Amino acid sequence: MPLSLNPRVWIGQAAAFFALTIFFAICFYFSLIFLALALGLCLIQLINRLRGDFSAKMAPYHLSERRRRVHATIIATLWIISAVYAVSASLDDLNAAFERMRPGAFSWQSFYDLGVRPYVPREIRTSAYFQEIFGAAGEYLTASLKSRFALAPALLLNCLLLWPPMFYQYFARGGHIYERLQRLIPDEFRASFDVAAADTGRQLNGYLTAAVIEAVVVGALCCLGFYIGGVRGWLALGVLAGLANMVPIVGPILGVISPVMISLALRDPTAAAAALLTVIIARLVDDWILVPGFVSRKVQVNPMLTMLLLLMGASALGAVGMVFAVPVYLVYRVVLTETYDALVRIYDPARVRRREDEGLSEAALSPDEPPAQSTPASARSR
Amino acid sequence: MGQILKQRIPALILIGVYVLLANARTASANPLAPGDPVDVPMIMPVLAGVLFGPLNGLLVGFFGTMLNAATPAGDLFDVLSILPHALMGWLAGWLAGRVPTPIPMLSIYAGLFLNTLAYLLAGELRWAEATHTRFLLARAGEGLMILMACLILAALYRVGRQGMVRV
Repeated sequence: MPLSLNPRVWIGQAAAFFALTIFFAICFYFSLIFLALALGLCLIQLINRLRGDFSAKMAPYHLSERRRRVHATIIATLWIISAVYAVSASLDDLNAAFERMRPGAFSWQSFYDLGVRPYVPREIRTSAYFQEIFGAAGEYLTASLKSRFALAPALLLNCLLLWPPMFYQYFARGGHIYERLQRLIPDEFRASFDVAAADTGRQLNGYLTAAVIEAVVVGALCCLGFYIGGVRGWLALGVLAGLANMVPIVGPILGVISPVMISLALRDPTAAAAALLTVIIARLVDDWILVPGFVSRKVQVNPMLTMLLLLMGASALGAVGMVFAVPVYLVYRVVLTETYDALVRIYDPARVRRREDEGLSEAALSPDEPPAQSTPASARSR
Repeated sequence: MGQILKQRIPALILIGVYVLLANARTASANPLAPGDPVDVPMIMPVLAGVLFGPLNGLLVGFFGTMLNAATPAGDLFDVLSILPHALMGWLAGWLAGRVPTPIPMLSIYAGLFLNTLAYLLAGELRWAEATHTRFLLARAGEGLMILMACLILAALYRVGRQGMVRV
């Protein structure tokens, strides 16, 4: 089906594109605020799910509202204490291992001498070029990690300032926000706005759910494998591997680097081999079971496009940009598709009538959209 | 027959994980008694009972401990723990249908008590050792660690399963 030739449709489409781009440019400019907001939204989603699960689990016991709240408080407190204790104990373990190994400051030269040099063939390690590359890579990694960690307090402050009003607005006045937004939209676009909002929410929710499931399963497998393999700091590294898995394509590689490097630095090649094997098994489970079974049903983005999006995200925002690259693309896709449909209905009604006469559905207009997710425009316009 | 086998798949997986955990190279430190390890595989029977019912809890406790006793990591204490662990798994499952979380996970303390009883009856542990403050503190810390781990794992499993159903 050829695209509309009506210039007003394309002017409107360009305006929508620029508005969206300006919105994301502002978001990326204030990247820490954007990150705090996005994390807050993820947390709200998670709390919503846990609340639903908790209510369903508690329903058979017929507890009073007060007792249910006491129960929820006890469980949440135990949850937080145990998670904080477990992760801090794991980090302490890692720190203690390094302290016992080499008192004093960590240096890439000592790491190379103790952790890498013994396992590299002589022909390669005697090459000055190899040592130079290793030193440069180490320095880059240190500088990169330092700059990331330097942002942590600012991010924490943003979260502390933004999350309370966000939680209040969502849990106490959730419906009002949407109604206010709706009132800002002109009448002729309101139906499309509703559809676009619902579609965007569905797609982002599906993406987030899929990413969290992948992260939890891969993280749990990595924790188990690292524990069995004797990797020091297994819990922190397993959690890190799970979180890194949320970054498509390059995430799994990032997840394997730290446990292998740390195990080699602690002169434990068995643990390094176990860490490598664990991450390979986790990848196989992810690629053969999770992605075909659950993830691909909701998130259908071309792998080549994913790669391009990741590169763009990395150049715009670094690691954070890589995490947000695909969700931002999903928002663009849904909003621009819905805007186009709405503009065609308003400025090019003859084309809609022609399409209905031909009995063509919306799926034909946007062939990359999976049939289960798209809402036929003709059905909506009726 | 197929349905019965399907219901036992989680138990089979958790038995495997039990044996793997028992053979792990990492030793988890006890928070209340430094230097004393935590018997991490005990998580599995409790988790099986809470998530998949009393029979699965019993099977994981019985076969997991029995298989582990036959591996290089196993010893006489593992042989003596077979029945206590099976009973602990069954109790966790039985309680899970009657009282809300996290009360069923307290069955870990019943398991630790039964373990101690079995060691005492077999003569592998003396009464003076079993009533020593350090031993009691170590068991309390071990139970707490396992309870918290069960709580996190059960919640992760439920959220993950809910997410998979929605996806």
